[in-house]
Amino acid sequence: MNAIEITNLTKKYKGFTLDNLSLNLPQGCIMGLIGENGAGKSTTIKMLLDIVRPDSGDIKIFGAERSAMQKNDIGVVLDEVGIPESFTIKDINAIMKHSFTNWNEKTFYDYMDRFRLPEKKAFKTFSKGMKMKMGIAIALSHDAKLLILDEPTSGLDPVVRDEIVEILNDFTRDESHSILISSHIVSDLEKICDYIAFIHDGKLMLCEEKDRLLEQFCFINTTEDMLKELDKSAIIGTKSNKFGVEAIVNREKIPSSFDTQPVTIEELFVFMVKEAK
Amino acid sequence: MKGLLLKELIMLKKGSVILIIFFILFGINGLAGNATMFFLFPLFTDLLLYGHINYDEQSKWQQYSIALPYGRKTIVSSKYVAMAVGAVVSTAIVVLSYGVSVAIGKAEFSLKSLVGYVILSLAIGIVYPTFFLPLAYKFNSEKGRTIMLFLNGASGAIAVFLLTAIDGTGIVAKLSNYTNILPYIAIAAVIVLFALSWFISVKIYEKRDL
Repeated sequence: MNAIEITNLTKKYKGFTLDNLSLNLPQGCIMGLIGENGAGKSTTIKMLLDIVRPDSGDIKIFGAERSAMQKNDIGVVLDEVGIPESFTIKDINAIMKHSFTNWNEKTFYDYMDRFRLPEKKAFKTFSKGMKMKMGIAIALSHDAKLLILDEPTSGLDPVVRDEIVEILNDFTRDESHSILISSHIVSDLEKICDYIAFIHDGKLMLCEEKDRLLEQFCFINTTEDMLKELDKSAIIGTKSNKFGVEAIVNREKIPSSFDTQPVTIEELFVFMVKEAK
Repeated sequence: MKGLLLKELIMLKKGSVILIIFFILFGINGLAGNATMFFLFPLFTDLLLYGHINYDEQSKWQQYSIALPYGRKTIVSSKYVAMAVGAVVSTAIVVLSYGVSVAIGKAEFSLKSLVGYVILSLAIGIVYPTFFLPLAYKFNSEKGRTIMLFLNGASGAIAVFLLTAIDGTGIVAKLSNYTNILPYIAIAAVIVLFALSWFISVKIYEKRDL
């Protein structure tokens, strides 16, 4: 079963359209939604969560239409954790306890200890990293089966980012748990994701298993003349320098005589976006 | 809805110092002989609860609450319930203040006055959100604030008119006469308008992007 099924999702704004986006997140997997700022990642996530109404398209979670009750099984972290600023840990626990049917107070307070969040201080005094940890603690304290995270590591220092990635790794030890995570910090997603979806300018450029992408695409260093001889569909993106041309290509579509080097998801993303511009 | 109502209560509690100070000021002024000051209790409670809507938008709670197990209808309904409870509680404080006035000899007890206090206090507490909540849900906080300023002025003028009339002239005198059918029609009309306002707000909120 798919944890998330998005079909032909479209949302038009003045100057930007999220265009006919379709993707599936299989249950038990982690999908990274990668794109530049303004590419449409947050719009997609906001439509998934019903914060933004789509113009057209269909969204299913765990194979069913979205409902309020279903949100008991979904943990959400938005780029800004929307807790009222004067609230303390005790206030937050009280509200969540009366909101989620499966709220686990002990788990929540365990996370508070683990994250060393101050019990008596107001939320507004928390640093950005602390606020994000609070958002993650809430998302993980009601036995969620699906996490939807919008830029959870944005603006955080590398130590906190690594800690968050580690927590997400722990969450996916249960095979029924799934995560959809958006970020423009591709290196974070590369560490944990099974699937990668590239969004550029409101369009889905690709959605594929990460390992397959790393297997399928590679770097070559060549000359302009040799590049011209290659099948155009094999070339994902190029970068010229004074020594020749650096290109990311589809390994299956080039002659085996080429000396290839592995590519990272970040490099693949950057080359694809530059080529699309 | 329990969690949403609890959130309103906690926020009200956080602002309770201001609430208590104003209630004491209104109360002292009222007990000193200016009984119309009691009617600022429901108006002030409304203002505080309305402030929560702007606060929700600024703190991104408006978006975050959608991620909790609540539908949009429940989120809107919780504001209406909070407003209605606020109107009832502030009316109880108005009645209590009237009782204190009677006890210390600043007013004479009459059932007619008591009914008048209850009807006017409830009306102020309920009518105000009836008109501004749909507007608050329709527009963003910037536009909402402008409309809010206009509504504050308008409602202030209406309140002054009503409070001036409480002394025994005009329609308010008839409204406070419990042997007359008018107070009961007025209460029914206020409830119907409040329900209609809730329906419109739900429809607006269900369609808009947050």
